[in-house]
Amino acid sequence: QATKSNLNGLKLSNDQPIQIESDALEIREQDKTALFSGNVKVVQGTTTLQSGNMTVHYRGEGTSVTNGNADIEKIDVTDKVFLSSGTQQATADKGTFNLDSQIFVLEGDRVVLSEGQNVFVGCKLTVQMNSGEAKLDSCGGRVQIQLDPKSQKK
Amino acid sequence: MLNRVDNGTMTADNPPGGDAYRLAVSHSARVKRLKVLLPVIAFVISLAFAGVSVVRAYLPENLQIASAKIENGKVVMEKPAIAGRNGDGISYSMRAERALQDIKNPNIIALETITAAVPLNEKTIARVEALSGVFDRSSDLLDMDKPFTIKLSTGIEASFQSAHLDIKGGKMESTEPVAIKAQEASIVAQSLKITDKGRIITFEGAVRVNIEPSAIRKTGN
Repeated sequence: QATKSNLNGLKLSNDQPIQIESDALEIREQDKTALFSGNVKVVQGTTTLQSGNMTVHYRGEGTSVTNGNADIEKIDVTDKVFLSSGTQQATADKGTFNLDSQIFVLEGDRVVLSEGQNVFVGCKLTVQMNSGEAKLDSCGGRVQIQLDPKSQKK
Repeated sequence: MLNRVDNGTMTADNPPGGDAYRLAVSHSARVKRLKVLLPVIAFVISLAFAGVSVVRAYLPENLQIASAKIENGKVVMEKPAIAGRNGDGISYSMRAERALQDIKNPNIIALETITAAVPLNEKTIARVEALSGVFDRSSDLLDMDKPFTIKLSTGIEASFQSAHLDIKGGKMESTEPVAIKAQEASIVAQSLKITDKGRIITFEGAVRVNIEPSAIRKTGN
């Protein structure tokens, strides 16, 4: 049983630059990873992602980062993830952005998706990045939905 | 007189004594002179030889210099150039306008206006341009105390306030802010460490990364 909603702010717009801040960044050419650690904050337009760590997996032969044509494949965020985009916000334990399939997933014991006063709680939030369509799964348990009466009148 | 003896004839018209005597005198004078000159020449040659070997000992074997002179206790070399191969057999080179080497401690060479080509790994060569630096010949460590830039052969440009370079090991560390600029991204941080021959790059302290949209567009749908 899942609820659907649109996190339209979540679309990964590819015409705005991305700023990433963190305490440290370690680029490992051998394993093709760039590990941002410590107060990681990623901002693109109105979308902000914050987490303890973020690992960017990239493709590219040889020394792709040092020759600047790194092709990002997947981004893993761990250690308390907070995502906010426009009016919608989500919190979870960890998340994965898969650039190829354009899907990003937030997981955790309590994945909380909120929009204004409406709060949805589940264990897995799957968002189609290009459409912004979000699906919150309860993985067996009940999805708790708390709708704000005011929002009903709209 | 010697020739005379060679042809073994004593001509009559040459009164014995007079001529021969004069020749003998000049010969012995020559001998006397040589007796003094020869050791002196020998001494000078050995001195020169010692000098060259001393200078040679001070300078690394693979160093070429345009000229060298000794000024107040320092060997001052013009346009020194060092080249060699690092562990992986990739050649590294370093040139400077001037190099000053203290006679007492020949391993440490202060360099002015440096350009170096440091192999980070098989594919990436880092070209270093700096105002000054101190090169430790015994361990091939270059200590840059003034701001400098490094251009990677891959088009990335890094600017530093200071850094320690292990030329042979392909390692580098800077404890002061660095800024790295690539075509589609830029990174700024308080410190940087490059180890494992350029395969691990670690930034620490207020890391800011900016990725241009064009970089994402490539990966976008």
